[in-house]
Amino acid sequence: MPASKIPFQIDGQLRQYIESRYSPIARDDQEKFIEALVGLTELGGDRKQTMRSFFEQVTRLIFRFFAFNEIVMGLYDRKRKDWYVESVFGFRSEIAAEYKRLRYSREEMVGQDRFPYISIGRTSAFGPVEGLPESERKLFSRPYAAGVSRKDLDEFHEGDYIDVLMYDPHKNVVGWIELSAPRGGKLPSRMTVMWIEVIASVCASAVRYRWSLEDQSEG
Amino acid sequence: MEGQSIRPDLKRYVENFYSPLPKDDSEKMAVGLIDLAAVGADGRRSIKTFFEQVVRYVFRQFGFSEVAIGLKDRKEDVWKYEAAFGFTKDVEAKLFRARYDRADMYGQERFPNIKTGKLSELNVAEGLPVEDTEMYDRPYRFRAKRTSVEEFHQGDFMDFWMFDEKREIVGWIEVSSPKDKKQPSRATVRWIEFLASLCAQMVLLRWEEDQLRSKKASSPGPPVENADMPSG
Repeated sequence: MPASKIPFQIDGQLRQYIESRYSPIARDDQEKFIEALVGLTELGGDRKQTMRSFFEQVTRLIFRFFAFNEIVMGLYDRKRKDWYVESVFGFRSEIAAEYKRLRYSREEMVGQDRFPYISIGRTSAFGPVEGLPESERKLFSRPYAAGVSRKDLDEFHEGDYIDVLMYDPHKNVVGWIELSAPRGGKLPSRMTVMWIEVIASVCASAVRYRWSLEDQSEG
Repeated sequence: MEGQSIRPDLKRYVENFYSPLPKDDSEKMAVGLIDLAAVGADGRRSIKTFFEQVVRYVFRQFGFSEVAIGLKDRKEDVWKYEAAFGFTKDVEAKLFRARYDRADMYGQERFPNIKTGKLSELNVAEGLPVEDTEMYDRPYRFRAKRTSVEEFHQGDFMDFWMFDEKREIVGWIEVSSPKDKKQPSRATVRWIEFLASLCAQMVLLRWEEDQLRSKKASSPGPPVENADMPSG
């Protein structure tokens, strides 16, 4: 029997040490977050999941780890060639219904005229309430608070929002994550924005993967 | 009514607060992942180019001096290396010539290992077949005994699996020679597991899109409907 075929037993002490050191149960928030990210990529590649159920998982992850109380996720509609809201979290039912009725044109999605914004990352932007058209107030959870002037520059004011866009390689927007009402009422940390951009990248690939599957099944 | 303009002091404050250059290692890691995801999802860049960026990222971010990435052949049960970093030219050439079958990839006999996570395992040098000790730039000598369980011994390596939804191995990231010669931290192992799962997502996306393109090429139909989407 060649040497390479002789069954080999790993040293018991080494095995015990390694198994204990890398025990699979997450020990802290960082490990729980990584575990959730891995779960998200797996879910993104699971053809049995609907887009909505995938987005709901994304929403839960963001709510759990990044302390935003209001989260909206939207998608590009390939037939109508506009953008719509696919999932809404943290709003009263009548506001959620308003969101579900919305449709955004290309100009609204990527232009600055109707929704002025400040870039805060590679794929994310901060939209201050002062720049929003009056018509958007129907989407505020506390419209009375939106009229109160901003006290501090680091305050996340009622009506402020952050959009994290999902892009395809041609810089087309395939979807977006919209965040508001952070617990603590302040602008989120730089790391928070960066991690949500990582999540948006995972989402962008998951969206394209589903589109590809849909196209194949439609022949 | 259109939106109003943004207060200049607020704009200045926010732009300064979120300035794009990463400020510490955690930010570098996150930005690196965003960049990798962009390359991975871009079918105009080859999978080899994507993997070459991933091996460099693992080297920079997690302190392994040797990193390789392998991929399954889509047509048959053969797995082979696509990218390598930190090896001598000779060893690199041997790596690229190596081919693994299903028994090598899934069995315990040829590469005895200890699970280190849902997607990873430590392959110990003592169990490696002799021919593989030559191949990996890590010639293991039985005289060089492991002095401590914490030591990442010459010849040890870790594999991080890329799975599809049926738990088939589509590829793997292989790391060895950590700069501090110790077993990596739990966080390092978990982050590379995420990276492997991200790579799996990109590989599967590319495979699906390639298949769709081939299908469309063989049966000409109307153009893809999102061709007039905006550039953001």
